Amino acid sequence: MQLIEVKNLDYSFGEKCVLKDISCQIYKGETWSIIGKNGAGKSTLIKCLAGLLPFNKGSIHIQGLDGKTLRPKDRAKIIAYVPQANARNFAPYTVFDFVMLGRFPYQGLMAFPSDHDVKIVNNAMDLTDTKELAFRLMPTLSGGELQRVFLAGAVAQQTPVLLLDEPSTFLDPLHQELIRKTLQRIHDEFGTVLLTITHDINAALSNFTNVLAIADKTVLFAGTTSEFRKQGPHILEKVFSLKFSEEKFDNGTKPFLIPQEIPS
Amino acid sequence: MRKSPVLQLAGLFIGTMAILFAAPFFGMDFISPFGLNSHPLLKTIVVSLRIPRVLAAFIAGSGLSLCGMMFQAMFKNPLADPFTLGISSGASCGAAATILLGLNGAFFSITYISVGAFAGAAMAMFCVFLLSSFQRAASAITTLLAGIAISFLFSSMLMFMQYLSSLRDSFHIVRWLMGGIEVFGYDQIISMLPFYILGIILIFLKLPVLDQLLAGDDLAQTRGVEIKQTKSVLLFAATVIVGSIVAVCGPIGFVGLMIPHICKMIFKTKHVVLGPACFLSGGIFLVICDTVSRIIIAPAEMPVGVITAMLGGPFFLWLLFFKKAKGLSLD
Repeated sequence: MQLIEVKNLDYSFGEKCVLKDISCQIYKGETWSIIGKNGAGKSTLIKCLAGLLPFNKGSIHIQGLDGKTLRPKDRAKIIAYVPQANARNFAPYTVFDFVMLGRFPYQGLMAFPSDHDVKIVNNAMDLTDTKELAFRLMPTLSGGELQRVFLAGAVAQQTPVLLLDEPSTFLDPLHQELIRKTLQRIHDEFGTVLLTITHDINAALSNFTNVLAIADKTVLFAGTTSEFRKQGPHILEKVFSLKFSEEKFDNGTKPFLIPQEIPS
Repeated sequence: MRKSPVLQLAGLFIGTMAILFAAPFFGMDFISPFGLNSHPLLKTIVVSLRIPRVLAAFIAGSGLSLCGMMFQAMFKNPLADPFTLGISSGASCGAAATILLGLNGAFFSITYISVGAFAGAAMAMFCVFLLSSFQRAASAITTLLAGIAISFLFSSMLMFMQYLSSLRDSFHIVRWLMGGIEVFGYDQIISMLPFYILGIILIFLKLPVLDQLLAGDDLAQTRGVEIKQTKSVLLFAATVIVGSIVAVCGPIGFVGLMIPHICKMIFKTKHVVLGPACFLSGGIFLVICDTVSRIIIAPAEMPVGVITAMLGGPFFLWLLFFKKAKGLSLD
C-alpha cells in the first residue's frame, strides 16, 4: 500500500533553491534512510513531509490525501516527527507528561487524558525503555535518554509513518545502538514506516530496507538497499564528493564502506 | 511529596474565596461584618467602595497573571510578560496622550483615558504581531525583541509627552503610571468585564495547546496545532485583557511576570493546572496588595504598584534561593 507519494517537489527559501524536482514513493513495510551532504536539503524534505514548510511546486500525497490541504490534526494521525532532541531550555515537564503530549491529535478540547491514553503512553514508554524515567524532569535527561523520550512521544502518536531527523548523530555507541534497537522494535511491533536522516552510511545500509540519496538539490538515488549496494562506492562518491572503498568483513556478505583521505 | 493537583487547586480556590470575602472589611478602619447595620454609612462604604475595589483588584491580578503565563509559554521565554512585549507601555502611552490632550470625560461610562489606554495596547500588540509576521517562521526571540523595541519606542514617546506637558499634567501622568486601583462604584468594573471575560475564556480553552507550544512550534504543529491561528487568538485575548485592565488600573508591574513563576514552582508545568492556579493566585495576590496599600499609610493610600514588588519581590527571591525551585527554567 502506498503511504506517501512525492511528485516533482520544489522548495526555495526566498531566492535560494533548496530542493528541486524531488519525486519518490514510499510503501507500507519499508524503512528508509535519507543520506546526503550537510545542507543538501534532507531536513528540508522531512519538514515538507511533516507539513512544517510550505513547498512551492509539485505535490505530496499522504495516504492519497493532498498534503497542501491536509489539516494539522489529521496529518498528526498519519505522520509523527522526531526533531533533533535538545535538552537545553526544555520546559520542565516530567517524561510521562511529555510523552502524553503525543496523544494530542486524539484528545478533546481540554486534552484530559483517558485511561486509553494512559495505556498507550505506558506501552510507548515500555517499547522505548523509558519507563524508569517516567517521573524525571526533561531538562535533567542525558542526550540519549532524551532522544528515546522523543521517540516515545512519537510512538504514543500511533502513526503509520515516523520521520526522524538524525536520531543518533550526537550519541555514544551504546546509545546509538539503543536507538537502533528501539527503532527496530517500533517497526516490528507496528509496521511503522521509518524515514531517517543519517550520516552513518554503514548503519543505514545494514538496518534499513531502502535508501534515498539527495545530491545537488535533487534525488540521486531512491530504491532498495541491495540495489544501492550493487553500485557500491561509485554512487557514494557522487553523493558525498568523496571516494569510498569497500572492505569485506563477515564473509563478505555486508561489505563496509570506508571514506578515503582527500589527496592533498 | 507528590500532591494531587486537584486537591491543591481546591485548596487555592477555597483560600481565594475566603480572602475575597474578608478583604472588603479591611481598610482604613476595620468594619465588622456583624456591625454593618449599626450605621448606614458603613454599609455604603463596604458595598459601594470596598467591594468594587476588591473585585477590580482580583480582575486585574488574575488577568495580568494569566496573560503572563500565556506569554511565557507562547514565547518559550521566562521573561515574557505584558511589560516586556510592549503592551503595557503602549497602553500607558495612549493614556498619557489623552491626559495631555485634556480629554476629560467619558464615553458611555468608559473614561477617555481608558479608551486611550485600550487603543495604545492594541496598537502595540498589532505592531509586534505585524513585525514578527514579516518573517516566514518568526522565532519566539524575534517576537520578543520586536516587543522590547516597541516598548522602548512607546516609553520614549511617553517621556517626550511628559516633557512637553505642564507640571500638573505631568504629575497626573506619573501618578497614573504608578498603577492604582482607584475604583469607585461599579461602572469601571462593568466596563472591564466583557473584555476580561472574553479573553479569559479564550485563554482557558487554549490551555492544553500551551503545553504543546512550550514543547516547540515544530513539534506542536506535527501534533495537530494550527500555529498561526492559535497564536492570533492568544494575542488577541491578551490584548483585550491587558488593555481593559491597564485602562482602569494603570500599568501594574510584577504580577504578570512573577506570579506565573511562583505558581510554576508550586504546581506542575501542565497548563491545565497552571492556568487556574495563576488565575487565582494572581487575583488574591493583588487583592492582598491593594488591601495593604489602603492600610499602610492610612488615611492616605500607596499606589498598589509600589506594594506589589515590595511584597512579591522578597517572597519570590526566597522561593528562588531557599526552596529547591525545580519549576523555574531560567538558565
